[in-house]
Amino acid sequence: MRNIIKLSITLAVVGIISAALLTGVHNVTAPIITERQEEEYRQALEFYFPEVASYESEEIGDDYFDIIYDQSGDMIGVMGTIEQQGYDGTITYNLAMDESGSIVGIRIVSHSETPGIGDVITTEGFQEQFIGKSYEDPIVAGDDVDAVTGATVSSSAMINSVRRVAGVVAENYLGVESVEIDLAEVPDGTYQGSAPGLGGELFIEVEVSGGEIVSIEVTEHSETPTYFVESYPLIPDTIIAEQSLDIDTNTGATVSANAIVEAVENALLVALGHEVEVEEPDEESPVEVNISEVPDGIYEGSAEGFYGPIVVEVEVSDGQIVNISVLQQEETPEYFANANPAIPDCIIEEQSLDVDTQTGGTFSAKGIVQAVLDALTGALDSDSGGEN
Amino acid sequence: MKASSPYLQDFTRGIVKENPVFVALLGMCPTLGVTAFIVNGVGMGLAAAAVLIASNLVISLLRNYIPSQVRIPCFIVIIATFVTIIEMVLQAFQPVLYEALGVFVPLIVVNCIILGRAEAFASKRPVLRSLLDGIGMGIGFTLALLILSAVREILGHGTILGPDPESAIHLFGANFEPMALFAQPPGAFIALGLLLAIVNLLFKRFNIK
Repeated sequence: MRNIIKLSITLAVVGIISAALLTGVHNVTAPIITERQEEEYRQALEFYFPEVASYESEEIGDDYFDIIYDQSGDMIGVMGTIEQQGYDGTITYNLAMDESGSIVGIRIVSHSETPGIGDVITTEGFQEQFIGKSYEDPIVAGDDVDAVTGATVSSSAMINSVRRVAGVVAENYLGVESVEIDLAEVPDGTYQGSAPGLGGELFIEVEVSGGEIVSIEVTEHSETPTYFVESYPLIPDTIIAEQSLDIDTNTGATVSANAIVEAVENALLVALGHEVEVEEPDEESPVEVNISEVPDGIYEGSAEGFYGPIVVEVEVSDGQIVNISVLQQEETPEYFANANPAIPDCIIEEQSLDVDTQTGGTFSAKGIVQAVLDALTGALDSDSGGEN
Repeated sequence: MKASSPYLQDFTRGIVKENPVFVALLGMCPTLGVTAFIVNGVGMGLAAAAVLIASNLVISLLRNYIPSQVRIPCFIVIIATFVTIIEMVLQAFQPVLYEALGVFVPLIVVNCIILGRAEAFASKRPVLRSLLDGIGMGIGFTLALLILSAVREILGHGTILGPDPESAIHLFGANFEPMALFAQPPGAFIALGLLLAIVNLLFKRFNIK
């Protein structure tokens, strides 16, 4: 009995001394830590908005925003603190936008992306492509900003997040009215919509009947299957159950979930006759050319790859593509090897440009397809124009 | 070596003969986890060394007062206290290092080098010898991390004193394509394996046993 008491007292004493010590050190370091973090944030803020005089914090959803005012009390911009799921954990970053809605800066606060791969998001080269972009720009990978080959997940997550936050800022602080969708006004029918997901464009088909969404079908996507199941069919089901697009998209696959919601929104906006900035359709699904109409001959075409133009030579004989050779390219050899000759072979075999470009060198692969398309359309144009 | 005093032996033992990383293969988790850059590796080594020295000292001081039945929980509480202190100090004064080391700082608590020295040495030896043992082991651990992180940073990033662009020195010019593998966890295993082979070879050559 006495032994137990002795043991307990020993443990208690050790615990108490330890707690006292920790409290002491905490009291010393805690103010320094907070001060330092605030200081860092303030420095970033002053860097982006040199005329800052005061700011006001606000929370919208899961995002924090500081509305920044100058001496005379005019709003000069907004700086958001955003948490975004990356490839490996949460990416916390600040997004600074000026009062006209242009992005003035991106600052990664913390991340745990793969060193040497996903940490490309911290590089100036990646971040500066956002500078000057506004909420009116598409901010879509492969359109006006580039995802980074080999780090597609990390860079797409950032791109999609920046696009979303730019929209939130525009809607809440810049007086840009978001178009309200009144489901009752949507005529019955089936509508298609698309939005960029994590792996590429995601296509949906939404059916509206009697002013209600009755079904949402994802017709095409390039999301990671293991994550995608977290959002599908959960997200469509939630939209249908609530008959609203204002739903919680915090699933294990938030980017995919947001893409579904955005795609449904786009489809409904089109249905209501609004103009929606639709992604370049030929980027994802090449315009088909009728190969049988192309006269025999050898045609040259070019298109942008990842690093520069890719020039191809296409030989057509009897309405069939018989040979495709790449004349010129500046792609990374390792990645390009994944796209060539696989993609030309695939096009020749299928006699179609609608081939799967998800290789280890997607940008190069798309470049080749576009270059072939360019050659064939060029052949058709010059033929019909009679200039040959 | 035979004639040297036990104090000198206590001190040098941890640096070469019983180096916690290269010989005892203890504390592998931070060894593999944070050694992508020299700054991080050495920072981790020093943080662990500070905890080791402090806990060795305190445990040796208290060795006659702690009943043996509850010694392990007491050791853990003492070690955890020092780790938490180090963590708060790092966060306040070395934020960049704190961010880089991440979860490996709190994990010093379960670093087997520290509990191992407490249990096997400090709890049975007088204060001065325990202190020397802690310093020696701490230097040995830091040294091992320095070597491993130097190999990894030079091969994996082509720099020393990175990742801060202001202090980073690029060793091979702008066109150097670093072996990114060494910057990543598999590279840590490979680099450690190669170093272990070299250390074993050297030990054999110089008859260190």
